[in-house]
Amino acid sequence: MRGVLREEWQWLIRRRRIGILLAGTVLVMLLVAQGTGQVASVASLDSALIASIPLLNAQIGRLFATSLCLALQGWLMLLAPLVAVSVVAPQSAILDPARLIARLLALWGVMLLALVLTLPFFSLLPLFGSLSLPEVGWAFAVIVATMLLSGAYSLCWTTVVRNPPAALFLSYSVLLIWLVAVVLIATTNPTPSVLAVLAIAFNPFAALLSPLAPAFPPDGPIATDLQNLLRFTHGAIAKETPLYRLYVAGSGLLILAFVAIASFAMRPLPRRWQRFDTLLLSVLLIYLAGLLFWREWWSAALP
Amino acid sequence: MIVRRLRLTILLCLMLACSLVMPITSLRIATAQSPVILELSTPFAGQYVVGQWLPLRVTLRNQGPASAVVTVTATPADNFTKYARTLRLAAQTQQSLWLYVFLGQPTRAVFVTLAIDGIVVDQQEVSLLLRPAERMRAAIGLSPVGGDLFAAGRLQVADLPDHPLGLSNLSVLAIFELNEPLSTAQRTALLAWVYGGGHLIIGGGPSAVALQAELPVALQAAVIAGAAVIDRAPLVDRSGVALSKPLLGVKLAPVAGAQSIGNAEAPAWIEYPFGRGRVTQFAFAPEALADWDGRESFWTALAQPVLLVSTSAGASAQIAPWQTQALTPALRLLPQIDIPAFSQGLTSLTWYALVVVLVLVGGFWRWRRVVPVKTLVFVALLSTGAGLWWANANAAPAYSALRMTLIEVIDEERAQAQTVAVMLSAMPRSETMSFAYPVIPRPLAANTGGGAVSDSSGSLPQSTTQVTVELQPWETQRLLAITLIPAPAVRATFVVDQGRLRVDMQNDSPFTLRDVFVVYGDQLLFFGNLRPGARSVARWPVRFASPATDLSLGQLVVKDLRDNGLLLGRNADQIAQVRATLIDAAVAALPQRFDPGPFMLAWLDRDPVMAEQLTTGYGETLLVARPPIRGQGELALPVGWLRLDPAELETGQCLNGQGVQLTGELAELSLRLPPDLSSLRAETIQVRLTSSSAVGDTNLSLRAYNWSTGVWDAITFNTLTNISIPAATPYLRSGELRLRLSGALDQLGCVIATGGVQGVLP
Repeated sequence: MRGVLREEWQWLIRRRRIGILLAGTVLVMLLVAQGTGQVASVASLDSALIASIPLLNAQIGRLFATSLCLALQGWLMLLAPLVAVSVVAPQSAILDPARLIARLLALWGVMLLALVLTLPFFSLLPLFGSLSLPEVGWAFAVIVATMLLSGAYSLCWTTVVRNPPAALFLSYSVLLIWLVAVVLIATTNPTPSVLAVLAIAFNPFAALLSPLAPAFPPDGPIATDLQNLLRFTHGAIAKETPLYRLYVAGSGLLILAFVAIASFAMRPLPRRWQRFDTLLLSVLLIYLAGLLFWREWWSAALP
Repeated sequence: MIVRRLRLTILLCLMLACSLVMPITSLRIATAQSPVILELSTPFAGQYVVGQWLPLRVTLRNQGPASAVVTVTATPADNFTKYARTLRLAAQTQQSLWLYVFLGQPTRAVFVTLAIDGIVVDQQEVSLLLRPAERMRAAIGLSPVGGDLFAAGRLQVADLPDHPLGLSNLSVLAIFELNEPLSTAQRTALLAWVYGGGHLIIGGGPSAVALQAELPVALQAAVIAGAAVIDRAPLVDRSGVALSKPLLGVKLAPVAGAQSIGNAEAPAWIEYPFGRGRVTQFAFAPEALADWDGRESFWTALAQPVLLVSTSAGASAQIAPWQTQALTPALRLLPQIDIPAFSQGLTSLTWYALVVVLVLVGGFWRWRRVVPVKTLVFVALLSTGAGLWWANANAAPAYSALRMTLIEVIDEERAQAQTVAVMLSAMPRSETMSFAYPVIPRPLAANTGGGAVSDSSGSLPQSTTQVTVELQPWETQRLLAITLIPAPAVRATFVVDQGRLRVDMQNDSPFTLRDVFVVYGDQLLFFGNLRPGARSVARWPVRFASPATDLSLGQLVVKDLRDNGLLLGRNADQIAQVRATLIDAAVAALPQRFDPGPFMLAWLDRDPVMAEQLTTGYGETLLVARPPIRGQGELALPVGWLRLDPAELETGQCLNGQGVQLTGELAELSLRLPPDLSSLRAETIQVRLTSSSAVGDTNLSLRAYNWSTGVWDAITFNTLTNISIPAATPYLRSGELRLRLSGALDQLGCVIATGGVQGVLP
């Protein structure tokens, strides 16, 4: 397994496009930080605004946090299919489960590297003093969950379709349709049902905003922008609802499902029950037991 | 298989039995008799006034074998604010305490719970009855009249709360008989209550000496100088019913500032203004009027509130709710937190991005297309660490606070402090306020209604020095804490010196007094800063420039500071607003109320109420005292000391309460001196009537009331702005000058009437 993982990692990390994607990650975050800085500078030059809002620094801090988190998560979602299509090596014709897991781990490794490269941008946030450690921690938990889920989702498409351009098209299309659908569900449901809340919770952007939203400021131009954002992601759901718990808890299940689908699709015919399937089932059962044990934690988001 | 099933059946039966037994056991625990017995009573039979504090007398008896930590919590119905007191009760002991509940809105009851070691063991309901402030009168001892003139009659000393807040419901309190001595706390409560606007009536007759001995010195209106046959005329005047029977009582000699009612040799009673309230001390016992037909109307006319101000919660006979409401505009003036210089951070991030891109490109070119992962991770983590260090070192606070403390000196020993704290946080935060003295806190909303201030247990502890407030993001929390503190040793005194008034200031307190002013009406005398131990003396100026009539006293003080360059800086506007609001809350003129001062105003360099000073935010502490006027001999008071008494006006006030709108053809004005100068014998009086419209005054005539003859004497004058009354002794009595103006008064518009007096202070 270790040899396979090294082989997959070396293959992936030597790709030119990976270097470009990592450089692109840093540049995208720089652009977002500079853009937010411009907005903040305009706000801080408005003396009337400063006089009317006692904690404008905290509002700017929250704007920075929200912008950077959303940009990073969006970029990672965009990055995942591109990295996934790069992970398919022509010499790796034998598709055993160990190689599938190795590919997945290599893919996650590259995305984690991209995440680590963006950490310095987040080091700016304590300057504004408006974010608590649990808030940032849960926001990063959502980003990491999105990263893992996007990786598994993209690899699943790549494995199932086997044609990289088609896989790329399908993974982006399905993702886009899903995002549009959950935004429509959020904006058109004045009293969301349990199913609607579940769907909205699995909008990665709604999940990301949920740990940050309870402390969104109520007044001022920055506050208005943030509230408008919530209208698209949360709709009628109260901003205090911890949607991120549902998302983080459900992401594990989805990742296992994507791995199962991929392993099922890649194995040669006739498809038989393997030791890997037993292992996967065991992990799934342990995960479900964990979910059952801590159901109060994640079900707090349900109406 | 059968054995297995049997085991399973036994197991299920056991589980079922356990599930049945457990609730029964817990029920027994809940219904077990509590070792602590709770008894409740309200001194005024549950009657209350909206916007005031309800006193609850709590008696706790621990009949158990061990000591217990007991918490008594009171919550008004339809409100979430809980007021709590916690104490350790030793085994087989009894303890009584007072719990004060703020009733910001009409409510039917207060729920009181008793908890031992955090477990609620008893709950009781206290029914309430709403009553208007002006009718909330109480009597200690036998009520002199039947009916419900005294809402709570026959009170005992034990019914008297130990804090002025407990008396805040009352507008009038009569003490006719004491079944036991007053405690020190009760005396202080009485003192503070009268200072805040209460009307204290003290009975006379045989028990006069004993009653007076129980009062604080500052509330003793007269010196008892033997027995006398009392002048009955004031009683007849008040009631309109003849009194034929001779009235025996004690002979009262008024103290400085007090006024005899009736014959000065044997007055029927003495009226003594104290703070915003008054003490009425009788020469005779109420029982002496038992057979008199006019006693009902007499007591009704006499037992009236001294102060009745309207607030958003309704009328109040205490000044405190009005002051709290007056502070409302300042509650939104939270200090701004500087926006940190984040552009340096963005520049550093730009350099970081360039380095990473160069490493990636260089790695691609130099190390055969392998991304140097370890190098990248090292650079990223190093940059993150450096960034976090820099950001934390320069972090701006996500919390802002405004604290305003108003300290009113009651007498030489005691002062009442009201601290208003406004807090806003961008993050959840637990803020603990440490006070130097036990306080009674309550939530304070912007409109002085309710609020959601609480500690982690959801209650506001009383008589404690630690108050914890849970701050939710972006929800402004406002708290009002009231306490009695030792008066700062700052002495301001007016002294009659060489025919003029001199002000002596002596700061023996450990605080530096900043921007000290002594004010009377709209006249300001600036003393600058006084360090601990400093003394300063200034003569009262002969002439003052006419101040702007559209500004309040607070605004005048702030304007004076600004004009002299003493209020500068980035937040100068905000500080000016806070200071002006505090001053106006403390000493602003009230409608229908003559109280121009004099006052001493000083800003303390640190808040004596707080154990810890503010680290974030902004705070102001205003010290207010009423300087006494001492001395005797010839005295020339410049124009401005005789001021219009709004209580005597028949027409409306104008120009921010400093003038009067005259209408019709005849108007009477009453000009007064401060109570300490009420004994001044006038030789010459100058009157200045300033009209807002520039009309001629030749068709106006002026008369002054001659107190000796009871006749309105004509006064000749050339111009309204300079009227001189020679041989003025009969026109000024008890510091009051009455003027009658006749003519086409409608043309005058708004008239500001002031005057000066030359005379002798005996």
